[in-house]
Parts: sequence; structure tokens; C-alpha cells
Amino acid sequence: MFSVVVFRARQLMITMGLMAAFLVNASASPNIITVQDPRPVAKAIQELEKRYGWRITYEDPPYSHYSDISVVTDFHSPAVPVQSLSHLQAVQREHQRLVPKRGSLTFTLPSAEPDEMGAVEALVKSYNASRGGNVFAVVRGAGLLHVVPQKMTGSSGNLEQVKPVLDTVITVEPKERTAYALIEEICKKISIATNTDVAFGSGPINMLTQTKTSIGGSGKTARSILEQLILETGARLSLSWELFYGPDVKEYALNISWVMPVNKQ
Amino acid sequence: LRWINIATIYYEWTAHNNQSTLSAPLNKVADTFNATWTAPDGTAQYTFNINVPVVRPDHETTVFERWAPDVPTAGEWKQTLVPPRSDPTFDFSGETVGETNGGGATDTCYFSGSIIHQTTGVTGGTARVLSGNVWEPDLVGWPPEAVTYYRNPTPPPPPDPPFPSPVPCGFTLQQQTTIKAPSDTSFNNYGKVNALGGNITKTEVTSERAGKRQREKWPQ
Repeated sequence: MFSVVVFRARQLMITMGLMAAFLVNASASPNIITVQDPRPVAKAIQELEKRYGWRITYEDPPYSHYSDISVVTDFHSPAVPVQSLSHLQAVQREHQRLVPKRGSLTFTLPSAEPDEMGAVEALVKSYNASRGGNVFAVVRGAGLLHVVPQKMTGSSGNLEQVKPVLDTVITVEPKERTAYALIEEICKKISIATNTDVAFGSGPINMLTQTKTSIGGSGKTARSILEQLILETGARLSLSWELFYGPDVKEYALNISWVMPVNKQ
Repeated sequence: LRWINIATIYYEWTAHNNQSTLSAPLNKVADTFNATWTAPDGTAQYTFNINVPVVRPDHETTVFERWAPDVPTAGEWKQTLVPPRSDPTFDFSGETVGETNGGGATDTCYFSGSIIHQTTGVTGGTARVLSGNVWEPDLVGWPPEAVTYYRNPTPPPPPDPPFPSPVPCGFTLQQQTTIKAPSDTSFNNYGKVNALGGNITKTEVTSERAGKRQREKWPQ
């Protein structure tokens, strides 16, 4: 009865329903996870994040004993474990590049579809057992799980208590700034309070410099302020962090990374 | 059954933008209008749904703006979206641009055990297209801490550190730019894949985007 004439390069199209098909990787995952890395706990956490889309933060212990350290002799080859205290002192004098000693970690997930806490606890428990003490602990935050250092090999050669740098209580003035500026402020405050350098190492700098936040706080741990920021941005984006310690530079780098959502049927 | 043409309606889509937020099929922009046919024995109301293809940028141009105030070792790049030749005044302002990986990445600074994460691809930022089809900034480069760490300059001052360092080194990655119009439910590719890069030497840093390169001495 009626005809419609559309004048434009774009042509009239008939509305039609569209069925979107979502492909989901449904391959079965083995319950046993094995990783090898200079930071095996961090590597295992990355594996859990990749599999399940969880966000689990990680903080390195301050590696100081020679038995926990390797020296990089060639940037394309595995680092060589330091053999003794005198060896460590020698490579430190030469300003050689030092990294955590490579280790392996095998743990069994409680089930094929484990709960987050159960899986992370299994990971940490397995690593701690291999080290003969509680090197790491799992802490539940306001919305994220955190794997934090508790003990590390000290100068005596035994595990000694360590205080995670992100447990440092700081005060950050609540004012509008970019997320990047807030992270820098948090790092600066930790550095001053602990006399250990902490700095932003890597992450989505475009997003962090474009995202505005008014987060601040008085007498809060650095971890809780950082977590608040991550959760605030989490409405749009799925971020997590890893705080890595360099035994040569004796400083921490904060690496912010994406955790990709996992589609589950 | 026989169809008879009893009336013709002329409709012209005049908007040179994708701003309609009406629900539309994939890659379409929608409009709707009503028409009434009046006959001696009554009237009839009709609603017509119009869908036309979403217009995408043909490509973009890029220029170096400055070194980022917050991240002084990363360059800020400004882009201008270029409409297709068939509609050269098309306005993309208000749309959102993003990025995905358009290929593999390399990071020659990274070594196993580094305190800095390995660069494995784009970081997935988004930006709003502004007036003039401009979007900015796209930060490309290393954070200062990464530059300092990979140079391994302790104890300062260098000037020619004898200790091991992977520099000169850098990252390269492939950026596929994407755009999302108000009616889109996801981002859509436009233009060619851009090569992005950041290099570190003992005294300088470099920011590279789509064949353009900017270098600075850092620290100043």
C-alpha cells in the first residue's frame, strides 16, 4: 500500500532479528596446576585469573638471602642461582642483575569448578609446604583476595617474619586526581614510610591517566586504598595488581593488569 | 491478492552522524516515522522503521602532541578520524574509540624475573571522539620506573654503566583501532593496524605510533 523511498547512500534495510551465538571454550581443565617461574606463586595466580576470571592480587616478599636469588648473566638465558653469601656480595658489587630464584609449584584444585578462596588457599598451602613455613598468606579484602608475604628467608637462613609493604598505613588526601596520580601518591607515601622505593611499573596508562577518582583516606593501609581504586574502576574494567620486588634494586614495582572475564555456560 | 500503490512517502536521511540511539540491527542506525493515510471511509496509521548502515571512519591521521605530564617517558598522540570519501563531512564526535591487538607484540627489555611485566599487547584504553573528529590522547611508551629499571643505572651517575642492562631495547605491538557508535553493542574495527613502539636507550626514550616517531632525552 505504501512505498518508502530513502534518499541517501545508505539503503533502506528490513529490520530483522539477530541471534547472537556466543562461543564458549568448554574444554575441561585439569585440576592439577604446575608452574615454573622465578615467582611461582604469582605465576600460579595468573593461571587462576586466566582460567576463572578472578582477580587476585600478589605481593612479593623482599628477597634478600642468597638462596632465594639468581643472577642474570645473559638476558636471553635462565638466571644462575647464587651459590653463597660471598657470591651474592660479589655480584652485588658488580651491580649484576638479580632476580628471584626460579622455583616450581604444583597444587591441586579442590574441584574442577572450585571456589576462589579454596583454590587460592590450596595454591598458597602447597607453596608454603614446599618452603617449610608460611611464606605467603591469603587475605580477604573488601572485594578482592590478596596473596601477601608473611615470612622470608632472613640472614640467618631461616624463615623470618616480614611486613608486607602494602600493609603500610598511609594518609592520602581525598581530592580529584587521575587514577595514575593516585597510584603514584600511594607509592610515594609507602616509599617515605618504609624507606623502600615503590613505584608504578606497568599497566594500562591510557586508562589510568584518563580515569578520575576522588579516593583518599586517613590511617588506612596502602592495600585498602589501592583496592578501593581497583574496585571503583572495576565497574567498567577488570583490573588486578602484582607488586614485584627486585633484589638488586631493592625496590618494588607495582604492575597493574587486566583480568579477562571468562564466559561460563 | 493484488497490491496497488496508493501513496508514496518521501523520506530522506539527512544526519551526517551515527547518533541515533534507537535499537537497531548489527551495524545499523535506526530511525522511525509515522504516517497516516486518510480515506473517505476512515484513516489508517502506519509506523515505518528505517535502518541504514553505520558509517565508520576510513582511517585516521596521527600527530605527536607532547610528552605526557603524568608519565613523562610516554608520548601523547592526537588522532583525527577521516570519514569515507562518500560522506566527507561525517561527524563521529560522541562516539567511543578503543583498541585491540592487531598482531603480536615484542618486548626486548623484558627478562625472566623482571620486576616489570612483559609487554604482550595493547592495554585496551578507550577515548571519546571530540569535535572535529579528534580523539586523544593515546599514550605510547614506558613508565619512568621501567626506563630506570631496564637501564640499571645504580649506583648513579652512569655515564656509561658497565653493568648488565638490556638497553637499547623496547617494545613493539600492533594496535587495531576500533569505534563504537551509540547504537553499537560492541566495538568495530576501522583503519589499518598501527605499529606502536617504545624504546629505551641509556639517555633517551622514544614513542612511536603509526610510522611516526618522537624521541627525547630523559631525564632532561
